[in-house]
Amino acid sequence: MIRLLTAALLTVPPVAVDPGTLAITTGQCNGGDLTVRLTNTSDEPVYADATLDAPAALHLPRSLISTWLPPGYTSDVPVAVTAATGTPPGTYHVRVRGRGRAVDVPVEVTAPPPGAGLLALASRVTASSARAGSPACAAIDGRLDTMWNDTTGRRWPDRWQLDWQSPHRIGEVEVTTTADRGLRDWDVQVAAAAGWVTVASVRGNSATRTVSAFTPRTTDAVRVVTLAANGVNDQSRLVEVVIR
Amino acid sequence: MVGIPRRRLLALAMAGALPAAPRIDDPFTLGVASGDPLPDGVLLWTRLAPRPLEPSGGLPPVRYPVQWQVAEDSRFTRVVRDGTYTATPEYGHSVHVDVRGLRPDREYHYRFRCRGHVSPPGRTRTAPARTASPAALRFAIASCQAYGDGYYDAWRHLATEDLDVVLFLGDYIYEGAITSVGGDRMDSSLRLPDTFELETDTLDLYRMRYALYRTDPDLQAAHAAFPWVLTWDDHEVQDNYADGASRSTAVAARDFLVRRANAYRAYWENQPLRRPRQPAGPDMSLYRRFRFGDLAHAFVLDTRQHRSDQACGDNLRAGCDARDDPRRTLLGAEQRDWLLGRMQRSPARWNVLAQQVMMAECRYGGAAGRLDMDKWDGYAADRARILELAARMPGTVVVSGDIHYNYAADLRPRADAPVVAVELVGTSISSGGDGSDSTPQLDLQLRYNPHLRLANAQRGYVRCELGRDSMRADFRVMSHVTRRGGTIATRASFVSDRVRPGLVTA
Repeated sequence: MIRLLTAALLTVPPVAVDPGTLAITTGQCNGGDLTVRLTNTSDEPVYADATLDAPAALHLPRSLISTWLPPGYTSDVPVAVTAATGTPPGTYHVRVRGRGRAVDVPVEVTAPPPGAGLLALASRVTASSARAGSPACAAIDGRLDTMWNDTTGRRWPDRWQLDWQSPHRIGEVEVTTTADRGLRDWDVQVAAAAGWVTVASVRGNSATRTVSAFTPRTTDAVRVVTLAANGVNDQSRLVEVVIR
Repeated sequence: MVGIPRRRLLALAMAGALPAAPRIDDPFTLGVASGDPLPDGVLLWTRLAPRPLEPSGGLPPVRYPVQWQVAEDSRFTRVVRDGTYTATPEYGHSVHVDVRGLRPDREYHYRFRCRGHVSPPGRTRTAPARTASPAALRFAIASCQAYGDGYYDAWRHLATEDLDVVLFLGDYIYEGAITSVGGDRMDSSLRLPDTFELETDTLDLYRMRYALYRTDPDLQAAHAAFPWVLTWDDHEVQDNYADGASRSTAVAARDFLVRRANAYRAYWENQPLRRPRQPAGPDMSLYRRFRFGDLAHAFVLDTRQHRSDQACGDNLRAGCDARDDPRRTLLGAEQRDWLLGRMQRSPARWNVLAQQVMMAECRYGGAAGRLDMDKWDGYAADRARILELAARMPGTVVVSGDIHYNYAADLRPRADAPVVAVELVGTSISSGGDGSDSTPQLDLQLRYNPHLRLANAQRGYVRCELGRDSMRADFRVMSHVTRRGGTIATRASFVSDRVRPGLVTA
């Protein structure tokens, strides 16, 4: 039995995590990715598991990775790590365990620095729906090669929403959509005591970048309610939102 | 984990010193199912998952014995078969009991028991004896049940039909993200974890996706009411994949096949399929034949795993010569030869081809005449060989899914040839949302594709009956699916003669 056990342990795939440490700031869109690497070093295909444990202060969308691995194959699985706004700064630990090995990844959590932009201060960014790989956060990541993309083809309206933990005074919302099949009609709304208030309406847009200026208001949430798109008028495509 | 670390449990299991599995909450949250009926048996399925939306269904990595019973009556007073199956973590605690020794063409009832919990009962039916001459075979075809696109009331209605078997033609799950409220279900009580916003690619994510779908009570009712015979389409792995080719050209075949292996494993675990269907890595043999006496043979096909990559870059194309290339195949040579050989020798009055994608030519864009490269239109050589054989084989019926529309079509090997078979394309259970009776595109298709007898964009299923000399199809459509409580009605009915095929309004 001991020999069998030893043989089994020698052939189980090792697990590795990259990077070895992670630094993130609080806020739903300010996290970072860990890549969990599962390798099959044996001559036979295997099904391998890795478990991920984290304290409640950290959020991971999954606690298990199971995959088939052909001989010599390494599977790289990205896992997003975030900490909610208000999480006490400190070092927390994600523990990744594969059969036969455990990896400890220190995660340093800090609050956004003083003077951080309104987008970095967002506590939550949500949408009526989102395609895998095109989440709501992609609309404030400063990248023009990612976007929020909803899942409801030809059904309107859709909603993209940003929340702050405390109110901010804003007077401008800049929307960047795609050149092909971009947004045509949308409303910009801000949260008020009585509910959502429309502060700007865009109709018949064909530009990729549109700035809506309005009388400055103090609010703790902004949302873009999308109403129609160009081309086949199928989905909401929001590349970037900037709030000033 | 009841205080025992997972590593310790694994070590104990490997050392053969596993403690008794701990007590669990009701593990039958995913319902029960039966499938692949034979004259003497049927496959019974369930999967243990006391917390179905958690990884591993909320179970520790230990084995659980599961008792099962098959009875002739719904009160289980005449139990004719019983036994114990061991559900293991390696197979997601799924249960696949291959019950044999039953009588042909009989209704049976079954249930499971585990750790003091009894499953809901299921009802199933064996196939008629090979030598039998049944007067009729009643079945339904269904496909495409995107969870986030709507509720499954169509399944609730189907469960009340009088059927011998359900043919499910693919897209049982979808790989994309599902919001916390279940997409267009907008069910705020769901509170799905954000794990479901990840696209399925690893085994744990595919397993969880099946678990979510299986928690739906209407789907459970349909599984519990009849034996199912299933095949897959693309979304059980990834939209529009072809053999080892991902939809994304940036993904290498070696990487895509790892994903396919994970998807196929989860498919086998979560469907009522026999052990020989189990995948070996990224390969899983799914095409097979079922016999219903001398009345019908059903050929269940797999048009995804063995196909050539879509011609001319996929999508809708006009003037794509590559679609006619005889070296390109939708079935793969082995499956195609198997089908042609078995069909040719079939003594049955009807040969049913249960498969995924529309076989009839379907021109898009009016005069533009674009064809869909993902369907049989993109693999004209394979289609021609089947229809040439059908011309010599009275009683060929093709049933299809995939496209979220109802179509009724006459099939000809050439435009100027007589009708040799008929095709029933069944709409989706939920994919695409509420739908409508027609669309401008469907109206155009009816005008430019005269062999189409119906085009409809509502949700639902198709109820079919094969008699000795004629068949009937009722296209059952839902009032809506994005709110609970949708009602069902028959949108259109057709009959076709076995010897002189051609769909005629009933």
